[in-house]
Amino acid sequence: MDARTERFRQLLEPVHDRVLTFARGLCKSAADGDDLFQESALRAFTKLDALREDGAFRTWLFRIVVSVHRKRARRAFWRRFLPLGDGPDGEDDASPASGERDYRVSAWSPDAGDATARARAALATLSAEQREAIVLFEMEGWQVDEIAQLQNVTTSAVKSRLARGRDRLRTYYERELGTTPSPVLNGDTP
Amino acid sequence: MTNIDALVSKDLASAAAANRDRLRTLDDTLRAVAPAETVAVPRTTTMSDLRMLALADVFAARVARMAAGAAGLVCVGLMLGTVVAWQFNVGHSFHEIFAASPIDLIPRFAIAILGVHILAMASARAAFARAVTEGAANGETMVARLDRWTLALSIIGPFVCVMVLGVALVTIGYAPMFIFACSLDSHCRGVGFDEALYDDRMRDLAIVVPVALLVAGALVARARRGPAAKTPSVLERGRTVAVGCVIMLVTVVVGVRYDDGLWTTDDHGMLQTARTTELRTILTITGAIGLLLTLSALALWRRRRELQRIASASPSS
Repeated sequence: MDARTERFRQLLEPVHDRVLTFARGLCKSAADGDDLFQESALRAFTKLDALREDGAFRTWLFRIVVSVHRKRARRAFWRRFLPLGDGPDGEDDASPASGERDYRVSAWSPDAGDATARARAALATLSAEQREAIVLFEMEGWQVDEIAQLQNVTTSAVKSRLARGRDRLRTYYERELGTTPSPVLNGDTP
Repeated sequence: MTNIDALVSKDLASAAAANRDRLRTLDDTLRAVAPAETVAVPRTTTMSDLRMLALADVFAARVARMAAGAAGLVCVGLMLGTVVAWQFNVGHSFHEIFAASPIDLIPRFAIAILGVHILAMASARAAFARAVTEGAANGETMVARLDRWTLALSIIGPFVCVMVLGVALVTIGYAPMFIFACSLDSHCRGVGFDEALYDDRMRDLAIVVPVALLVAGALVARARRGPAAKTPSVLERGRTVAVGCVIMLVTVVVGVRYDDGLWTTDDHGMLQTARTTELRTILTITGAIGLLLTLSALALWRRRRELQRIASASPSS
């Protein structure tokens, strides 16, 4: 292993799992998240010489993930207008006959993966910026100022994204359920 | 918190836990990343790529200089054409654009030439990449084919621009350009219009511009002979630029101090347009010599730098 790869290993090791988890949280499936993480890691490795301070690696790598994720989101947006027959990125397996994955609540299976599938389907309706904020805040436990630093915006903007993202998640759930979920669905005893 | 909010939070927590399941290992990531790098590095730093990059840069720079020189000639041509058209009572609508005062024309010409330079450079880069990628042309041939015209136009274009605007500036000052072809002193003294125009305005230009064209042509022919040619190697030194600048400076200083006809006004504040004197002709010639020396030295120096860059990126170097 050469010195460059060794340096990359040392920098990546402490943050590897957290970045990978974050990438998975941004995508509709774990496989897509792994793919996003792989592309980001490759870009980070290619541009490693541009990183002057090793202490900034964590933020730098997260920013690369965000950048790659937004690029993919843009590509997926424009691809909808091209008659290629493919869905957006990451729509690979378990597709219905129409060629598009069915994210409706009615299509959810009753087994243990329901909650994860619901959350991913709901997160997929958010904008890239809102999704990043929600994933970091709600799922990864980041503070608002940390997210603001990563997204290069003010804390007010992050709070706004969190509030709007949360609203959209709520709207999605209400629309798909058709009514307020029952206490049983909520996990409460009647 | 509503039921919906609680459900959302619960599902997000569940998704976060699922994301932490069966994570790939660090070694898997490194195995996927490192080989791609070891393949990519040598390919991007090969000598042939560097040479192609140098050729692309030189091609774009040459096209841009050539286009800018041609744009300068076109601007001057349009200006003179508008002035002549004005004499025949046509083309008045173009007058404000192409035949304003020489002082107004300087920034307009500069913007037009700069715009053409930028556009030509961008277009040339794209054209070079397309031609080389499709194999339609050889990069070296494309660059070599431009050598003669680039050298000629990068000397003649700026020279004609500066000389015509310079002569117009000292002849009519801040008056509109149509004054250039009317209110002639000799015409007022009974000389025919064409002859008066030549005597009062065009004589100096008629002397220096053709001579400059011949000199530039000879210089291009010499430069094409290669490094053995003596004249280009003497001219392309920084000392030549300094000498040219000094000559131009002395010309301007002498003109301002001793040329009586320069921007003088009568009792009513109207600009007096004196006929060309022998002093003004001499100053025009010396100014032209200084300008020609400077432009030639700069063009040849730039050409030498380009050839050196291509040579330094060659596999044999």
